[in-house]
Amino acid sequence: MLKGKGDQQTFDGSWPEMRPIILKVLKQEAVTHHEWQDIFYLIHLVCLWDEKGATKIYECLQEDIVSFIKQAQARVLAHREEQALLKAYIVEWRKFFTQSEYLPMPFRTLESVLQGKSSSSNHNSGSGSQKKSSIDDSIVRKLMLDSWNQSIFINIKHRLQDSAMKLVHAERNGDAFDSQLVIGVRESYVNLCSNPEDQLEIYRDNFEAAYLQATTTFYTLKASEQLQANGVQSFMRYADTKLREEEARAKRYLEPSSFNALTQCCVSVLICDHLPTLLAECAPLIKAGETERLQLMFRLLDRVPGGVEPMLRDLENHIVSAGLADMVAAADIITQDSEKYVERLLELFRRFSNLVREAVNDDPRFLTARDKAFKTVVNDTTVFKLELPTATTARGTKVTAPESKCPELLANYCDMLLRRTPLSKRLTSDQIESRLRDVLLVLKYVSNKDVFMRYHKAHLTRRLILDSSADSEKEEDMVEWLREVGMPADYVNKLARMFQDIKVSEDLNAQFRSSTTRHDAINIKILNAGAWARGSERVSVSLPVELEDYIPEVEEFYKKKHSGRKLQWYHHMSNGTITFANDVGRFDLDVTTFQMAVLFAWNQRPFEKVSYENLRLATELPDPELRRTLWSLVAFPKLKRQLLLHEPAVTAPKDFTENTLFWVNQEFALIKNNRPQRRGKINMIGRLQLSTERSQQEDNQSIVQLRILRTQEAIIKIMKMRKRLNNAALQAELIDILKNMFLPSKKMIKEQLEWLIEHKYMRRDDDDINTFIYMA
Amino acid sequence: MPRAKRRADVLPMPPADEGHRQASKRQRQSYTSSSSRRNSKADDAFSSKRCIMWFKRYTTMDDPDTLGPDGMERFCQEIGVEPENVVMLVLAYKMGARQMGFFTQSEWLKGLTDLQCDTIAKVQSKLDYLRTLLNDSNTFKSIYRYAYDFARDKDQRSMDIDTAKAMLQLLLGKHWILYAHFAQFVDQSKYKVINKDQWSNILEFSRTINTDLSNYDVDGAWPVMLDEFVEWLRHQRNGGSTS
Repeated sequence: MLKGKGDQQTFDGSWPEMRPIILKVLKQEAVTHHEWQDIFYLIHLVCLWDEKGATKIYECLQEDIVSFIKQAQARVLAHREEQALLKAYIVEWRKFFTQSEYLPMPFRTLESVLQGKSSSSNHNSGSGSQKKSSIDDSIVRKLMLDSWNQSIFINIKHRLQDSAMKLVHAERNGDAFDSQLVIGVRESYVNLCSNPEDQLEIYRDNFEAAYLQATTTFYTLKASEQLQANGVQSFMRYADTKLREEEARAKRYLEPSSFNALTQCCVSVLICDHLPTLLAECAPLIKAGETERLQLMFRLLDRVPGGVEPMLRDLENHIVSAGLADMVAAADIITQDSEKYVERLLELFRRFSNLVREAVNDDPRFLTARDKAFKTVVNDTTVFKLELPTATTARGTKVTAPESKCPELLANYCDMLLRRTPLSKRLTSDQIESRLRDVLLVLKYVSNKDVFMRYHKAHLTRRLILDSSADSEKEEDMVEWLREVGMPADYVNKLARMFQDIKVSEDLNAQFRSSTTRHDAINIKILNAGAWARGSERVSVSLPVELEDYIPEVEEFYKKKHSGRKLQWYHHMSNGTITFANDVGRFDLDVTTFQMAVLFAWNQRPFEKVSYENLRLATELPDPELRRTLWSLVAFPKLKRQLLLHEPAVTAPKDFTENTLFWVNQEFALIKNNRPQRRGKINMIGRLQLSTERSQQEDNQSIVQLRILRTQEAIIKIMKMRKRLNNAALQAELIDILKNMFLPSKKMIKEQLEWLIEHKYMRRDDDDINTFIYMA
Repeated sequence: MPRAKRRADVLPMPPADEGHRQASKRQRQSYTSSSSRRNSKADDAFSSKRCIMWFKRYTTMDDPDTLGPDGMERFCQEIGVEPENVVMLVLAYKMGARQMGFFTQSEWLKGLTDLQCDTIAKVQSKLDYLRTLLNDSNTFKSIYRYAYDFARDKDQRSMDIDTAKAMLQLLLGKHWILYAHFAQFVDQSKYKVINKDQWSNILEFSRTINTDLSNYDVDGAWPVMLDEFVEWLRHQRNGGSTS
């Protein structure tokens, strides 16, 4: 088998032997084991012994490859019809491509020789410096692919590409075909690229570009057709399906690097181009609560930068307008009934929360929009408002913006749940708890939380003093929940202290009762004025002797317990039960101490008529309190027969004159089923207690005062830390600190800033009025 | 208290204030170290003795160290300037006078030493220079701020509104087109006094805010008083234009 050694060592000698085998390999004809081995050996020998052998082999090989390709080209081009051409090309290409992996194997030696002096090589295989023997780096393979590229692909690539696009087009229209054809074209683009830095260069510039172009053209047309023929709603479905379809298709026909570009292209044609039309649909869908369609729309628009914002706006607008419309429509009920109001608010809240959950899967952006809208609804002042008094400063009156009454109603509702009321009796403990949680939920959106705190505390005070809590455990739970939702700690602590105080007081009360020799119908509450009392609430009154007598006794008792502590009597907070007897029967009346003082005026002279002026002298009550107290006795809403009668008749407490006469109604009785009863008990305290005439106004005023102090305090706190801060940053930090209590108005902030500047806590920068500097 | 008066007419001299002040400072320093020798050398050189003698002419026996309202009137007459002329404010600023209508001897000596004046004629020759000080925006700002404490009733923290208006007229009346509106606004408002912060910001306002208010930023840190002024003026203008 081995011929003359000298022959095989030179190129001229061995090439005739090698060539047929090489051609066989190229043509994918059967090659025997021997032949395959021989060719390795021969090439090796030639490269080893013949100095120019390697170059020569390379040149001849190139010639053969080119001529082979020419034949292939002829075979491909024999087909006129495009699809057939494509098919033929793919067949040839696949074959050639497979062989491009085998043929280079025997040429390893040749390659290493050529790479050693690659500069002399006539093609640009400079990259061979790396010692990778991987097939991709093979010079021979490169030669094959380059030759294919130059002699066949370049000539017909446009035809190939076009036919491939036509196939894709057909597929888009629903015609099945062999997807391998398109894939083949893509592969030849990718594999024929000889740029090692960017393998995908040719592919991207031709195939990808053409694919994207074809996609755009196709859908520009189709989208408009769809839109016109079937309307927006079905178009959205269409766009959604097509987007997914195209993404799947891209996975088949494109390189992974193109997926983004394709998606973008589809989004642009299917969504961006029709954005206004789509968005116009959003508001009606929200209004109709069409969650499924909204979901679809959200999916589509979320692909577009800035596409969701208009949806957010629509949602917010809708919640606000629907919410307010709802409130206005039910204005009559909800302004009167805090339960209805809170329930209505919660109903709204649930409705829109569901919408957000179902339509956009609780997307955070939509949750924010919902919260924003809900804040607007809760803090709205169209239905009712809380007029805070004008903060009178030396500069004159300032009109403060009205605020929502919501926190007051929330506090009232809490009171109804926590006090013994028909409502709290009707509900189970769990129901009450869940409703209190609901209140906290709404409270989150209230911007003037300090108003809630104040009312809640007033109600709590009343409940604790009158001992009217439905469930003391729940009371304490509520305080903890308030802490959890971020109410200011000092406020919550104050509430907690009230509970401790009450417990201490109960102990004291028990001790007092055991120490006194008199009957034990007395119940004293000794509480810390700091935690309970509000402002200048003490009202003087001349107590009935029966009560008056206790005072020194209690004081004596307390002095023994705690020397040096002073007791102050808050009579307007106390109450008692008296028995009223007349010809009809005997009745137990729960009355305030003031009512008691008034009624005791008749104790010595039950049938006399007493003038207003004389009552005033007898009770020593201040005018407004006396009027209110008398009014509660002559016109108590729950009574058919009033306790006191008066003349001349008046319609309001302010109309009592000095000479108005009052006398005890000897016919007084409780009426049940239209029949006067002989026995009975009635509570006449109602809302009277703990809210003196002045306190309402004082309450509001002190809210304003407290806000001013809080604002100053916060400004100082910030400035102390920052030393130097511009206006915008200061305001932002300030609002952040205060937001759990109230939303400071810009004007209020400025006024406090000016006050602090005037009092030299801080100053403005000399050259920049917007910068403040802390002064120690 | 100055009556409403127009500011001095346009002044030709360039604001060479800084250089001059430093120069005079140097002179004063050297003067204090070797006063007697200098005096004997040149008769028209500044003499602190002559300066104090001149001061004494305006004081009374009761209070020889303070030049009071009567003396002030005579002083103004002799240098030929009305008391309410803005140049008097600049002079007072130079002296660092604490209280309007009065100069103490130390203020007088400090200010006039600075200016190197010990005679009527010398002060008169400096008047134009003093007026030019108003043209430099930084110096003007200092004078403007000085004016607040100068004119304020020392018993009160803030300046009463009438004084404020008069001083604003004197200082800004000519250059701030909105001054007349501002005075009107103040008259109808409940403001009885102006605090220093408001005062300082009025100058900023007059310098930076367009006459049509177009660049007024409500969210800026302007004092509430100016917010209210802008609101009032806009309302005023709208009322006028819609009718």
